[in-house]
Amino acid sequence: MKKRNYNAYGYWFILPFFLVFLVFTAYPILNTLFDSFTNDSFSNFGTPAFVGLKNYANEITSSLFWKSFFNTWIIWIPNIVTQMTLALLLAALFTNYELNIKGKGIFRAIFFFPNIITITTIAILVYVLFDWQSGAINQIFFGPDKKEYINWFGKGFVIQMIIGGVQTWIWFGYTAIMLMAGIQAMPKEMFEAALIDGASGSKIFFRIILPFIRPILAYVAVTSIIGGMQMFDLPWVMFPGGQGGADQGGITMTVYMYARAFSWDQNLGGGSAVAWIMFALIAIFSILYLRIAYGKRSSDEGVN
Amino acid sequence: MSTSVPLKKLTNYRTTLAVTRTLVYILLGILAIICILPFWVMIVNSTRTNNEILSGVTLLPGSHMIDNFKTLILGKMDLITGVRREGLNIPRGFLNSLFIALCATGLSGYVGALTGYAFALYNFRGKKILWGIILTVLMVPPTVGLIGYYKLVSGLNMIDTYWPLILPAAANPFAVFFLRNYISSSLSISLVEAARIDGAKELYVFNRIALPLAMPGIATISILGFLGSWNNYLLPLIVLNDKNLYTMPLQIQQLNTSLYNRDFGALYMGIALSVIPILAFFAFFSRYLIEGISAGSVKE
Repeated sequence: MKKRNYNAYGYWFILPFFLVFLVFTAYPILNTLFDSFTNDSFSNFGTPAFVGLKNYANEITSSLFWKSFFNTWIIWIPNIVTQMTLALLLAALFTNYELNIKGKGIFRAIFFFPNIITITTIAILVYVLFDWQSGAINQIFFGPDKKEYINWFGKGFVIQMIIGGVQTWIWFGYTAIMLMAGIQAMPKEMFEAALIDGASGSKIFFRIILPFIRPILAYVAVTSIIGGMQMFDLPWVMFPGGQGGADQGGITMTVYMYARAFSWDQNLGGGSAVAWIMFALIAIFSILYLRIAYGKRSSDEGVN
Repeated sequence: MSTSVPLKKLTNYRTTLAVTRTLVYILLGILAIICILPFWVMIVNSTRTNNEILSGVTLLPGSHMIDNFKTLILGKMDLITGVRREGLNIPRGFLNSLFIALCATGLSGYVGALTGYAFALYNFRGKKILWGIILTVLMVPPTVGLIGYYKLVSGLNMIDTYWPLILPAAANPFAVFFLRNYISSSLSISLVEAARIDGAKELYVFNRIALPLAMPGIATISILGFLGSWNNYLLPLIVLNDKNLYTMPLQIQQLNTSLYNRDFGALYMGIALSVIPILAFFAFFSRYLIEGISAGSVKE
């Protein structure tokens, strides 16, 4: 008897996914690309004219676009540096058998907690806690004397540091959990051999642990670039309408894109061009980061 | 003499370890306070009057909880006319969010398992290319297609409906990626073949054999997916205009407009109410959430 071939069923099983994917994921992305070459806006919705590369030229020469670009990086870089340092430190401490920290589970859960709270809620919370006259932050630091109070949202750079700090606060626990899992997956013999050779704690950390978890570090960094470049909820809710607060410090690239398309001048073509410039930047920086982090050895390290 | 040196070394070592350990616990304690204190202040302030909030922080709750709740839900009262302005229907927002998140999670779990199962079990032509597409989409930032998505949704007359927030969950590449791996490692092909010999249809084999076996994996991605849908802000923002349809994040966002301007008690009450469902969710699922992240990390 000839064995029946069932493989064609595979197509039926993947059909629902790919149908939805084509309509709701692929088509909007390509439609955005198409739109970026037109003068589409809410005033001529559905009947746009082709304008070539005009939108891209407009954006690249717009000072506010570049401001949003640098804002995004000024928020992201201090955040990723602090977040990674803190997460590495915590992961090293939690997995150190000499220290043998008690209550790891509880600490992990507490550090992870901010990560699952709705960003809109966090935005409002940050907004009221840092409020100039009534915020708890000023009250804790300066007591009842309102003359000392700092107007936290009065300077663009301070706004950026607050947003970046909140990002760190949201993500350090998550990152620490990932790194911890990576360290725990290391073969025991690697530690034992190092200990027999008399290696110190810091040597074990820098020479053995760090190289081993490098793929996870790269993964965290790249997903953080992708997420960080798209930061929207926090600055948008804190400073509604895309004003970005003082010195327009809260205008990130996605805030800029959204405001361009839906709020300021309702320019869908211009917003689409911004979306694709962002996409290109994210791709370039992700690849660049992986190149730097791995050098030429990326091919022989393979999947972990 | 030869014995006293190692002994001294050992005591030194013990002292250093004790000091280090104390410092580490202090660091962990400070970090824990930083993670919890903002939420504690939020809960306390949601029970205090506006004047109390303006006068300073405290760690003990006040007596104004009910009033703040009323101001939030029913709207702020005009002191002259006694008429209340429009409030936030938080219970409604809760139900809206719950409905969307449950539908989206169920859909992405089932379709994700179905697709992952197909990639794990069958060898069809073009499989490698299609899998490559799924892996690529994992890295594509979702905001790239936002404007096109808005145009699609308005073209389909789906503005102010929940379809655009639920249907895309069927094409969740992360669920497929995760469940393909899960099914490959948990389902044995002989089980499928035995069912086929008994005359079972392919979809029946999936529904009755593969799906139950994949349940722990589906649960893991469902917990993450539920949170993602519950916390989603940008998509509902462009899709929903009707305030009756608002999800919780959209309702909470309104707190920063003039609606409750300078009424901090009601403001704190609003965000506190939005945290409570997540707190309950976390109490049940934190272990699975943390395990899910750990598992993902080792697999990457």
